[in-house]
Parts: sequence; C-alpha cells; structure tokens
Amino acid sequence: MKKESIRKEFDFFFAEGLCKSFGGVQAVTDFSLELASREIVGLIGPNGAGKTTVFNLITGLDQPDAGELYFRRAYITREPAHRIARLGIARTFQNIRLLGHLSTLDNIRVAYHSHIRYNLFHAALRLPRYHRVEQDITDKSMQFLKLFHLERDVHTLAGALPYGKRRRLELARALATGASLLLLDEPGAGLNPAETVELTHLIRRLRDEFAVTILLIEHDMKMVMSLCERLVVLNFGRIIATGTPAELRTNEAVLAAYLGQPRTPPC
Amino acid sequence: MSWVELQPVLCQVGILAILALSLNVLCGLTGLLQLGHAGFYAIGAYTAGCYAIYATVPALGWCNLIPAAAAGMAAAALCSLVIGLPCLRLAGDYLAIATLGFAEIVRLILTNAELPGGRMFPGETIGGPTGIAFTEFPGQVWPGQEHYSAEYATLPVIWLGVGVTYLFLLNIKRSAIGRAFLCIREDEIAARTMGINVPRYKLLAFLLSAAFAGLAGALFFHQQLRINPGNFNLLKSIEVLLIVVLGGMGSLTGAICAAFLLGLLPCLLRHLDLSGVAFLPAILQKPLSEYSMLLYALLLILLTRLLPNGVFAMHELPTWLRPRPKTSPRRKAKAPEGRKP
Ligand SMILES: Nc1ncnc2c1ncn2[C@@H]1O[C@H](COP(=O)(O)OP(=O)(O)O)[C@@H](O)[C@H]1O
Ligand SMILES: [Mg+2]
Repeated sequence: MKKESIRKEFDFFFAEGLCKSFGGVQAVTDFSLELASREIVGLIGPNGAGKTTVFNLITGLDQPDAGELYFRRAYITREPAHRIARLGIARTFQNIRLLGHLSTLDNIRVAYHSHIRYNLFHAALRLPRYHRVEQDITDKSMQFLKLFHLERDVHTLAGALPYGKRRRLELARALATGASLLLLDEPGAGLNPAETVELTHLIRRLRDEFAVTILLIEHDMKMVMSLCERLVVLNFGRIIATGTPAELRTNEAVLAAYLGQPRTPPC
Repeated sequence: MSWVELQPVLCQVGILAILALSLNVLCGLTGLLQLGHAGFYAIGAYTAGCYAIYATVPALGWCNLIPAAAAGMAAAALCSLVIGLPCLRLAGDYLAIATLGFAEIVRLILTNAELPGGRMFPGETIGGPTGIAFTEFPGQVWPGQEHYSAEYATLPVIWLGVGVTYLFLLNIKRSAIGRAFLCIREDEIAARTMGINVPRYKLLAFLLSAAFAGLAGALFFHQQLRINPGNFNLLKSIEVLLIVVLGGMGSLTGAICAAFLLGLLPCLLRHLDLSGVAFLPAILQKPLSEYSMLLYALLLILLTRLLPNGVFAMHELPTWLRPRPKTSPRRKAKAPEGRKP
C-alpha cells in the first residue's frame, strides 16, 4: 500500500499534499516535503506565502484540510500539538513566544516537561524523586543557558531580556525539549548583521552537536544561502521551486517571486 | 478588642485564606477566571454537614473532622470534574460566566432541596433556606457526649489547614506542574508546543482549586455549625477573587496576607464610628462597617489602577524582601544527556 511505502522511504519526516484554507484564503495548497535526518532545509518565500502556516500544520497547532504527516515512522496527521511535541518536533515563533513573567531559567525548565518522571504527590510532598529530577533538570538547563551565552541572565525575567537574547532563549528552549526536528520561524528577524552571523554559526553548530534536523524560514538570503543544503520556495501557498541554493539562484520563477525584489531586513 | 472577640474573626481569616489559596491555583497560576468559587465552598460545607448528621462516629470524637473534610474535598473535586470537562473548553470570559452559573445553580439547589433530619434531628428536615443549623440539641445526642462539639474546627485547627494548604500548593507551584500552569497562563500556544497537555492541566488546576475550596467549606461548617445557602452567594466568590487580586495573581503568600487585610477590615471598620462626627450629614453618621461593600468596590478599582499585579505580583515575597538570587549554579552541571549523536 502507498502509506507503507512512504514509511519505508522517508523514515525521518514526510509531509504530503498538505492543504489549509482560512475562509476564502487558500493559505497552503498541496505542500509536500521530505526531510532526512540532520539536514538543514530552508523554507523561503515572500510575506504571506504560507510559510508560518506550514509550521502550524506540522506542529499540530492548525489541522490540515487535507494531506498527511509522518514523523519517524509515526503517522502524526491531526495529532494534538502536545503529542507531536513529545514525539520530538519543536519550533520557535516568528513573534517570539516566551513566558514573559518567568525567569530565563524557568523558560528552559518548562521545556523538559515531557521528560518529567514524577507526579503530583512527589511534588507536593517533596519526595526524593522530586529533588533528583528537579536538580537534574536545573543542571541541564544551566548547561543550555551557557551554550547560548545566557548564563548571566539566569534569574532575569524573560520579558525583560533584550531582543537578541529573547530570540536565543526561544531557540534554547526549543532545543531543550529534546526535539530531533527544529522548525525555526525567522530566527534572524530583527537581528543586526553581527548577530545574524553569530546565529548562522550557532544553528550550524546545533545541527552538528545535537544531530537535529532544521527546517528554517528566513528572509536573510546570506544566511539562507550559507546554511541550507536545500531550499523550498513557496508563493501563494504553493511550492514553486525546490533545489540547492546554487540552483535556485538562477531560477526564473524564484527570482520573479522573491529574490528579484530587493528586501531590507525588517526591524 | 479582646481575644474572645478576635478569635472567630481569625478563624474567618483562616478560612478566607484557604479559599484564596485555592482560587489562586486557578486564577493566579493557570490564568483562568472563575467566578463560582463559592459553589465548591458550599459543596464542601454541605458535604461536611451531611457527614455530621448521617455518618458521625461518636467514638472518633474530634477525629470526625478528618473524614468530614476528606468527604467535602472529594465531593467538591468530583463536581469540578463534572463542571470542568465541558466548561474548560470555553475561552476566557465564557468560562467565568459558566462557573458563575454553576455556583448559582448550587445555591438554588441548596435553597430548595430538603433532606431528612436523620438521627440528629429526628422528624425534622434539614436544608432549604435555613440550611443546616446545630443550635439546640435534643438533650444527649450521643451517649457520653453532650454536644456535637463546636470545638472541632478551632483556631489552631483552621490555621493548621491553612498551613497544609499553603505548603501543598506552594510545592506544586514550584514543580513541573506549577511551571505547566504558569506556562498556560503566559502563553497557551507555547505551552502546547512544549508538550504540555493544556486541557488536562487546566482540569487539574480546576480540580485542585475545587478540592481545597471544599476543605475550606468543611472547616467553615465545623467552625460555625450553622450554614445556609446565603453564606455561599456571588458576593463570596467576588470577595475571594478580590483577595487573590489584592495579594497578587499567583502569589500564595500574598493571598494569605490579603486574606488578613480583607478579613480584618470589617472588624476594624466596626470600631471606626462616624456617628459622632458633627460636620457630616446625618445620613453618613454610621459606623464605617456599613460602607464595607462600597469600600470593597473602591478598593478593587484603586487596585486595578495602582497595583495591577497585586501587592506581591506573582512572587512569594515582595521585591524588597526577596533574597538576591545567586547567579552561579551551586553544583557543577553535567552535560545535557541524550543529546549527543
Ligand atoms: N489564523 C489565520 N486566519 C486567517 N488567515 C490566516 C491565518 N493564518 C494565516 N492566514 C493567512 O494565510 C496566508 C499565509 O500566512 P502565513 O503563513 O503567516 O505567511 P508567511 O509566514 O509566509 O508570511 C496569509 O494570507 C494570511 O493572511
Ligand atoms: Mg510568517
């Protein structure tokens, strides 16, 4: 059967024929994508092309009207978002979604939610298991904060962090969930050129050190071209081209839809 | 003010504190507005009342309080499940309206339902508008015991209840469960992508909140030994909500402090008398306690204007009392596990 063959071929991530409309707006039409383990793939396209909607469909925040999703041989179409997160897909948001009134440390600790191995009574009665698990989580979180150069802001409220650090914290939080597929929605938006370069190195490092697969939405072409092994170009909800950055540099359709228009990074 | 006068007031403050602590789990930590807390409070109180009438074991003496409180908590928790499963799907204001409706339904049922008096009040009925009142005892109720003792929920017992509730809920607040609650309050979408089962945690918060409101109800019954549906009206829900807002959404210590403030306020106002103040018009020459509802409203307006986060915000201590956090971790951290290829 078809489903079986799909599972065999693409054992990491596979999406086929995803469609989503909002009222009269056809936000995504027939979107298909396969990802191999440890790939960095770029999802690009002009504003309103449907990139964020694709992320919402993959993470279960929106349900597709049609289409199928497989992740590590599991069929995840129409699964609730929290279950997809538990299976190992994490994301960041275009408009950062941190827990503003919680400390930087707690923002990371919340990412370990699916790995917590104690229940209400362990917590309420402060049984040894609670202390063990919490200490473990705190240690690991501190390690992540160090990796992302946030160790000085452990107790700062996330809402009080400067913009660049908020972006980094959200990325750290996504990674700390233990996900093997990271969906990054415009991680470079609003960063200055120096920060963008730093972010480029960081993302590549994450892939190498943590063996994650990264699907990246980004408008900064320098970053996309240097990071991504493969690009998928969306326009009006449809894939208009796929290929390596070098191939797409000369693709007429892409140039017309996207690269042809010089863009200044949004602030 | 004498100790005899103050003691029942402090008992009331304790019960208010438990109510505020329990509501804080739902409103403060999880960010769900609930206007029907008095409903669960009533269920706890009436369940304890029914236990006292139908199921008291005389040999247990004051220990009867424990099964009574447990029954009150269980009944309230059970009702919260029945209400929570359909209602928690509702967003924001609709949930508030639904819970408000629930509390009114509970109050109306209690006003209209009558139960047989059992061994305690043979031939009479209990419930209805007069509620349950242990005033006159037909002589010796139990062999060797003159009263169904009014001393069961004394000041220390009530404040023990406050302490247990506080520690239980504080430990939960500082665990992964509390973080999940806060995460839902801060950003529900982020919570979902962190693997938090949002409906389940909302239901858990609702359940915890109801269970401890049930405890408050049981203690209230045992302290008063006379309850009627009027004790559990909308005003009670609002009063508890006001305490939570005053103390700071999410601050358990703040809830207890605010319960003190609002619990003692009517008592203080009673001692501030405007009757002798000549320059006021005659209509205003009353003890200040007559204005307590007016002052509550004024307080709520001023609070939302001046201190939108409450006195303690969501922390356990106000900023100037908090110890400075250490920035270096105590133990040397291990490398994150399970992330290497
Ligand atoms: N929740 C929604 N309700 C209605 N329309 C939406 C919603 N989300 C996205 N859209 C529409 O879908 C289209 C694609 O949006 P989006 O995925 O955010 O684009 P991109 O991320 O590529 O800029 C836009 O036309 C947008 O207006
Ligand atoms: Mg977008």
